Amino acid sequence: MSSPSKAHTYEPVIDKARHSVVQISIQGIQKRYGNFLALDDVFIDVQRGEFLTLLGPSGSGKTTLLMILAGFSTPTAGRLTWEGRDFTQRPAEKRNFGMVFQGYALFPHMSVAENVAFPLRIRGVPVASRSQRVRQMLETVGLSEHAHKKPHTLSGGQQQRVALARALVFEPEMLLLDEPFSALDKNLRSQLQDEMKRIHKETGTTFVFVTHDQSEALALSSRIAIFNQGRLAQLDTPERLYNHPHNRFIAEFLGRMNLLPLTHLRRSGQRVSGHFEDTILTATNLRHIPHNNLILGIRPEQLRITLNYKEATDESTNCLAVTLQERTYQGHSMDLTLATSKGHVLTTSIPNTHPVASATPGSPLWLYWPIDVGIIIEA
Amino acid sequence: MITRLPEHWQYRLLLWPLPVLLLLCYVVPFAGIITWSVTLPELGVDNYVRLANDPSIHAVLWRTLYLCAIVGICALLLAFLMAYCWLYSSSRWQRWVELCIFLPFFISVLVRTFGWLVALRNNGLVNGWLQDLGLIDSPLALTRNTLGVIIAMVHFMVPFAFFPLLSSMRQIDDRVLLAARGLGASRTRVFISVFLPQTLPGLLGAFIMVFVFCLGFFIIPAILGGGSTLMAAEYVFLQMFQTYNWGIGAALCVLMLVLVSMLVWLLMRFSRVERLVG
Repeated sequence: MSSPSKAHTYEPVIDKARHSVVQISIQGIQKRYGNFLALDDVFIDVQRGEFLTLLGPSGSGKTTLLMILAGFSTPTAGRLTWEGRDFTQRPAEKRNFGMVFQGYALFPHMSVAENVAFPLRIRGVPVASRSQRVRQMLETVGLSEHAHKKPHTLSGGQQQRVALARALVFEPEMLLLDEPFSALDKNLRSQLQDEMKRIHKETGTTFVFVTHDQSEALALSSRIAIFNQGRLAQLDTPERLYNHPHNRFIAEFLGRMNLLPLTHLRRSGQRVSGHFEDTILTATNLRHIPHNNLILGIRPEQLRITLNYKEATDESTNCLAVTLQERTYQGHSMDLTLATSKGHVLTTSIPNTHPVASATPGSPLWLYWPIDVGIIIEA
Repeated sequence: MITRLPEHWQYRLLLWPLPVLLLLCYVVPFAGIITWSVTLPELGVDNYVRLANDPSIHAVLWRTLYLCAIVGICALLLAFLMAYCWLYSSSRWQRWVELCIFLPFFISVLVRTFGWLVALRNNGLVNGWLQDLGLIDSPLALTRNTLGVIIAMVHFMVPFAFFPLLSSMRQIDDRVLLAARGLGASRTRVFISVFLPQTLPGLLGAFIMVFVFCLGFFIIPAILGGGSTLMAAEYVFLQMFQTYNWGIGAALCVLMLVLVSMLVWLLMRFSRVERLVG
């Protein structure tokens, strides 16, 4: 088990030549549209060279924050600092950030090469070195043969690469990405994710990435900031967010989670025991949440299942009697829907070779899991 | 080609009136005009030879082309400003712009032309105000010359340039403009290198539409030009009804039609028409 303290588990990518690790500091940013608070009281320190993902359901404020970072939108309160200097009011064109828009926003009247050359032309880079850098950049994203085509003749994935090349060619201080993969099909998406990871590593640029796709966020990020209703819900590494969600929203938003409400709590040291229906369940309460009503959360893949009661009982495990409701064949595995005697539904997943895989709906089964894998969440 | 279902053949009947109308009202009479141009006053191409050699006809033609080009450019400029204004203003302002565009539409050309005559003549509204304000001593010559014709023609043509321009401006993605800002371009730079180039097909289309429309103008130059600004259409009228020179008038008509056809072909070629109306 990892320790609960942030500093211990999280090691940011640090450019050792620089003094500060914090590149941009987002301090108490608020954005209000009339009576609607799109963003409230957001504090994030963006580390130099990290891949920070802003994740949340639509309308959670993540894109609003990105637009504020880019300079297309002004916050109603709070400030942004760049290595300690305030840049809240600096116009977008003076921030020197690259940006990849949802739908790419390529210049339709320019060729691929002209699109990529645009930021260099604006900056007055001489023609010779301009065309050399464009060529290099197009090579990096694998589009050298398409340099003279117009954007609309390219596929979605190729357009996306052009947008990326255009945003990176002037070596920006930071790259902002607004749902860049949302218009692509699944296979292309994972291919471009790998490419994005490689480019992030090669350039060493700080990436701030907005998405509503949790698996994308888990696969790419060095840290994820989860937003809910305009507030920052939790900021952490993917592993810690997945294994130690701070609240129910995050637990349910990131992956699947079985939630078991506990009553009549008894605490001893780091252990908490409580009643769930007719069973006493135990878990470790690492964050020492003081509430009287807590929820025990277990990921489906952490649950084990058996037909045999003897296999399930042990000093260090929790055990729960359930009946099989439904089996869903998934190819590589089988999803099971289970219900307790009082109708609480849980899900788990087993390999197709598992003895339970051939059980018929209605069969009594035993669920069990080690005490220390369950997480305690505020109800 | 779209392959149509056989049971829809009845619908094709609905299309018949249009080609029939075109044939009866345009093609047949125009064939007559072509015939006149080579038979009046006698069989031969004399009229076309005169078109090619007569300096007074050349003067009329050049004046027509020159005026149409000036009107095209002025109308385009005003329409561009109005469309830009419409695009980036609140819906209340948009209603005002629309009013300015639509209101003249409902008033006949004749009424508007006489309106301009009232406003622009020597003791008219504009000269009166300017004199009252002490800006000028003697009235400006605003009618009975080319300037008056241009003012009234531009006023007539602005709406025709407005719609194609607005349509091409509305097709520009706002995020593309934001992207240009984000990549370091100032507002002016975004306008010049990203906004303007994307309206080029609209500008070209609007210009050719206005230009072609202006070529056949008759009432405005006749009333506001006061005989000093003879354009092709008025020249044809004079040849046919004042000097009874039907052959040369017909030949000029044929020449104008060839010219317009070439311009329309250009329009089709360089800016897709469906984008201008969409």
